[in-house]
Amino acid sequence: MAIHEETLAPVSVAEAGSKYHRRQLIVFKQGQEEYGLTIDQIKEVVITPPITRMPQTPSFVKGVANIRGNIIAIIDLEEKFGLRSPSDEAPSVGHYTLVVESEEFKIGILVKEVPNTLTVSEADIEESTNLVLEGAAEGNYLKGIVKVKDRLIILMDIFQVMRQPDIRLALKK
Amino acid sequence: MNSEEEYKEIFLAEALENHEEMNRLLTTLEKESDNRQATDAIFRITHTLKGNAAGMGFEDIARLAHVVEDVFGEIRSGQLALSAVLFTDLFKATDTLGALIQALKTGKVIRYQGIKTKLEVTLRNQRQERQAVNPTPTEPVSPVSEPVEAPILSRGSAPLEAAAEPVATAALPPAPSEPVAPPSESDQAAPESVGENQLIFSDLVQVPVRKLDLLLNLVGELTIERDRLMAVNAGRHNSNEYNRLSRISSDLQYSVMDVRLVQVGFLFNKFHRVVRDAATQEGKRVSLRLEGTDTEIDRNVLKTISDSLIHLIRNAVGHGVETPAQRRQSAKPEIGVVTLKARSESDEVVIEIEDDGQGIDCQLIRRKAIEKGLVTAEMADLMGEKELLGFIFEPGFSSAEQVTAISGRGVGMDVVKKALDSIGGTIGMRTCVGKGTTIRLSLPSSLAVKATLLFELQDTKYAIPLHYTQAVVSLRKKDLHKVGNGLVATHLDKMMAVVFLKDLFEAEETGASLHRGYNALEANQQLFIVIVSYNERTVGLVVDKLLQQKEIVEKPLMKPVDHVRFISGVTILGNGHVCLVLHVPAIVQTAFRAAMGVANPGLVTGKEVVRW
Repeated sequence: MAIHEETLAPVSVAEAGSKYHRRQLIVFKQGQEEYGLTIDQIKEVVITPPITRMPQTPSFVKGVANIRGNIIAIIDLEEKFGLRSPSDEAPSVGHYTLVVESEEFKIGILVKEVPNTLTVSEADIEESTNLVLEGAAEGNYLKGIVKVKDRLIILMDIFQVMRQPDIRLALKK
Repeated sequence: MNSEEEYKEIFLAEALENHEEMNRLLTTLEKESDNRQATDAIFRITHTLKGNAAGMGFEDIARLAHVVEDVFGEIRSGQLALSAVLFTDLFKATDTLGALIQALKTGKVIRYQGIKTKLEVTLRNQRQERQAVNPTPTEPVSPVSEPVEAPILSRGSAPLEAAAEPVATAALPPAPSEPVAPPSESDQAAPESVGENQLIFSDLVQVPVRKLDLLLNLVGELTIERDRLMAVNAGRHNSNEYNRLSRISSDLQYSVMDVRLVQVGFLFNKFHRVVRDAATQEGKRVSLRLEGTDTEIDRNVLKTISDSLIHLIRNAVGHGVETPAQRRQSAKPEIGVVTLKARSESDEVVIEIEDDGQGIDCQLIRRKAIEKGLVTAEMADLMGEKELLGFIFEPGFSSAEQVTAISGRGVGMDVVKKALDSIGGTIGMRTCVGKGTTIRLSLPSSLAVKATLLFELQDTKYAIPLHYTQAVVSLRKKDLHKVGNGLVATHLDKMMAVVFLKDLFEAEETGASLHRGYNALEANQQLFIVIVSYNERTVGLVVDKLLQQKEIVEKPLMKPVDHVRFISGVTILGNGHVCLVLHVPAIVQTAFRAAMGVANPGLVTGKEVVRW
C-alpha cells in the first residue's frame, strides 16, 4: 500500500539546514481531527482483513485479525475516544488498518482514509506540557500538537494509550 | 533403535561434550589457577558425568570421574593446591576419560587404574597431611572398597610414580609386586593417542529447543497454508491433486514432532533423589518404583510438568505415605512405595503417581468445600466422590490449611492444575481411605496439533479441543432448569451445568444474568449443546451451530489481548480468518460456579491477580 508523500516544502526546506531536526509523521484522520504518529512506530498499512470478535474485551477492541500470519488485535480509536460525531451514519468500520509495532506488542488501528506521511520540523511541535487538559491521565499519551499552515495535528503515543488503566482493566484476564 | 541404544547414544553425546568442556576448563585453569568458576564448573561436570555413567552402568567412567570429582572437591574447598604436577595428572585423567568414553563405541579396552590410583594417592596424602597429628602408617594404596583391583593397580601405578611428584612417592608403600611393563605401556599409550591425534565427531547434533520450536511453528504454518490451498481449490481439480502435498507435509510434521520427543525416563530417574530427600525429612521409609520409563513425550510438555511432578511426588511421600509406626499398626510393610508410571494412550501420554498410603477422606473435602463457600450443602449432597475430589484443585480450596494436615494433599494443587491447563492436559484422582491415592495426568504427547470441534456462535467460528468434549446433544427448553444464577440439565442420569456461551461472554463484560438465553427461548426450540468436562465437572455449552471436526495448530494470543480468560489461543482457518480456541478450564470453572450457587461469576474471577 502506497503512502502518499505530502510535500510541505516551505517548512521542510527552510528548516533543513537549521538547528532543528526534522521528523516524519504518519497522519491519519480520526473523527474530524488529524492525528500523527512517528513513522518508526508504524509497520505497515493494509486493507482491513476480516476481524474475529474477541469476547471479554471492551467494544473498541474490534477483535483479532490475521495480517501476514500474525494475529493482531484491531482497535477502534474513534470509539475509544468518542470521536465519532453523532451525525455519522451507522459506524462503518475503517477501511484501512494501520499496523503499529513496539517491542511489547503489535496492534492495528482502524482508519477510514489512507494515511499520509508528513515531514515536520521539531520546532513545529508544541509539547503537550503547555496544553490544558481535563484529566492528568490524558496528558500521558498526547505527545504534543503540530501546527503546519492551518492544520493542527495531534501527536499521540499509541503505546501509552494502550497502557491506560481503563484499557488495562478491560483487557485483563 | 531400541531404547537402550538410544540412551547410550545420548549419553555418549553428553559425555563427549562434558569431556571437551573439561579439557577447555582445565586449560583455562592452568593459566589462571585461582579461577573459582572453572574449578566449580569442572567439579559439576565430573559430578554429572559420574552420575550419568553410573546410571548407564559404565562403571569405569564413573569410577574415574568420581576420583576427579573428589580432587576438585578438595581444590574447591582450598584443601588441595594446584601444582604443575597435579595438572599433568588431571590432563591425563581427562584424556583417559575421553578414551573410556570413546571405547564405549569401539569396544576397546582402556586401562585407567593407573591414573585413578595416582589421583587417589594425591588425595590420600593431602588428607594425611591434614591429620598430621595422627601419623598412621601408610595404608595400602588400593581403596578398601575395590580390593579386586589391587594387582592391576599396583602394576599400573608404579611406573607412573617414578616420574611423579615427591608427595606421591613418599606416601606410596614400596611397590608390593614388581611392575609388569607391557600392560603399563598400553595403559598410558591408549589415552594419549586419542587425546592428541584424533579429533572426535559425535554422531549427534545438539540443537537449541528454540530452533525446534521455530521449525515446528513453520510446519504448523505450512499445514495451515496447505489446508487453505485445498479449501480454495476444492472441487476445481480432481481430489488427488493435493494428495502428495498432503502426505509430504504430514510426514514432515510428524518427523519434526518426533525430533522433539524425549523419554520420560530422563525426568523420572531424577526423582529417586526427590523421594529420598522428602522421606528423610519426614522420617519415613519410601521406595520409588518406575514403570514405562521409555514412553516418549514432547520435550516441552515434559518440561512444563516437571515441577508439578516434583510437587506431586513430594505430596505422595509427605502426605500420602504414613510413618513407619502408623504403617505397622495398619499391617502394611514399613517401607511405603510410590510408583511413577508412564504409558502412551492413543494421542496422549498418561503419567500416574501412585502411593500406598492413607488415602483421602472425601467427607472432609465436602465439609471444607461448603465451609469455603465453594458449593452449597444441597449441591454437595448431589455430588459424587469424584466430583468432591475435584475441589482439591480449586484455587480457593487448596490454601485450606486444615485439610492438608488431616487428610493430606492440598497446598499448591491448583498450581499443578494450572501447569496442566497450559498444555491442555488433565488431572484426575482416585483414592481409597487406608489403601492409597493415585493421581493421573493425561498429557498431549505433542503440542503441535490439536483435534478440535468447530462451532458457530453469533456468526463467529470457535474451536473447542476434543480433549475436553464428552458428547454433543440436542435439548429443549423443558430439559433445562434454573439453579442459582445458572442452569442445569441431566445427561446420562448425571447432573451437569448448562450455560449459553453467549450469555457467559456477555456476563463477563456487563455482569448480566446467565439466564438471558434461557428466558429468550421458545418452548420447543432445539438447542445444540457441546458437553465438556474438566476436573470432573461437566458443563453443557449452548452454541448456535455445530460445524465439523478439524485438526488445528494453535497459536498463543498476542499482547494486548493475551489475558482473555475464555480464549486459550487462535488458529487460522483455511479461508485465512482467525478462529478462537476456547479455554475450557476457565469456562467450566465459571459456569460451574454459577450453577453451584456461588454468587457472581464475575466477582470470583475478578479476584485473580493480573499483571498486564
